[in-house]
Amino acid sequence: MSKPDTVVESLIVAFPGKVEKLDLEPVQDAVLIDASTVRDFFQYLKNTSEFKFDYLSSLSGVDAGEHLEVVYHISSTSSKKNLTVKVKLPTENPEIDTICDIYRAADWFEREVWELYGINVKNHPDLRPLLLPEDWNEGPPMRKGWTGKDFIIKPE
Amino acid sequence: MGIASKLPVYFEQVPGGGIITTKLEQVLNWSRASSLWYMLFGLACCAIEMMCAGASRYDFDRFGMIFRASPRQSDLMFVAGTVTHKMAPRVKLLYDQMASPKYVIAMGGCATRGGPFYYDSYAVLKGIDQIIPVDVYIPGCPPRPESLMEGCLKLMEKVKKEKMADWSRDVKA
Repeated sequence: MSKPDTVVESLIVAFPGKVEKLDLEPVQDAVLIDASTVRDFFQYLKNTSEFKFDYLSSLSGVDAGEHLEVVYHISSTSSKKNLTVKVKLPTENPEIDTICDIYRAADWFEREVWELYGINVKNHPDLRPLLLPEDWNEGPPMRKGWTGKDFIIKPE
Repeated sequence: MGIASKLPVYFEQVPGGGIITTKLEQVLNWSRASSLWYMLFGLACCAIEMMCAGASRYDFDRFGMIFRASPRQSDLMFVAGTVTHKMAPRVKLLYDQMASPKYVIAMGGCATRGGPFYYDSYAVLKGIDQIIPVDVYIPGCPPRPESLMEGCLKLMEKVKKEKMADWSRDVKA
């Protein structure tokens, strides 16, 4: 078997069945990965993969309506590659493993995703509100259809 | 007569010279209105305009207004910018730390009523007057320094009309 020449192909070979290619038209390579393989996947990307993805530039949440998404933007300072990694989660009890021991930058991003989208981040060392007030108890405000105290919906 | 020409005064001729009599209320109001020291405290883009107003081009020193970097020494607080629910208790704390008599100017749309964050925002307080009393509201996004100056002059007019009986208003609240 010949050596895969793109990032996405090498990842599909390394994680059979867990990784699929996404076509995000404009910018960069993208993969959709299974939620159960998040930690293995990022360990591999950082340490084992020949492309050495050593820089997590962004981690964000998306409420896509039927499901939630966590989106990682990750780069390599040595091979100058960029990669978008998406994970799909159910809207009921969404859970994802922390990667902040692999990428230290994920710490605050994960707290933000946790408080704004209600995605439980398992094994995070310091899960407490980051942007919301300390005594917030009205649920994740960035979910679609959310309303709360002092929230005024714009009239049509 | 210098200073005395600005005060409501009564002259009495006594042998050897004149004496000035005036009302304590008016003297104090005049001195307070002429030295409104404001807190070095900004929250968002309105703070840029406030800094500009305090700097040499608009020069609030002319009105006896200077920045104080401590709420204990401030008479006036500009709420210059967006107040989020997270920031609101901190703003209230700063207000409580100021010594009476104290005044508040809500600067710009955000501090007045939430501004562009009025609709569809979970994070922004819809008007600073929900937590602290406001003396003057200044519209604008952000208001230009001239608007801020106009607001301050309005506040000075208000201060000059105060009655002794109202000085304890903060104590009651």
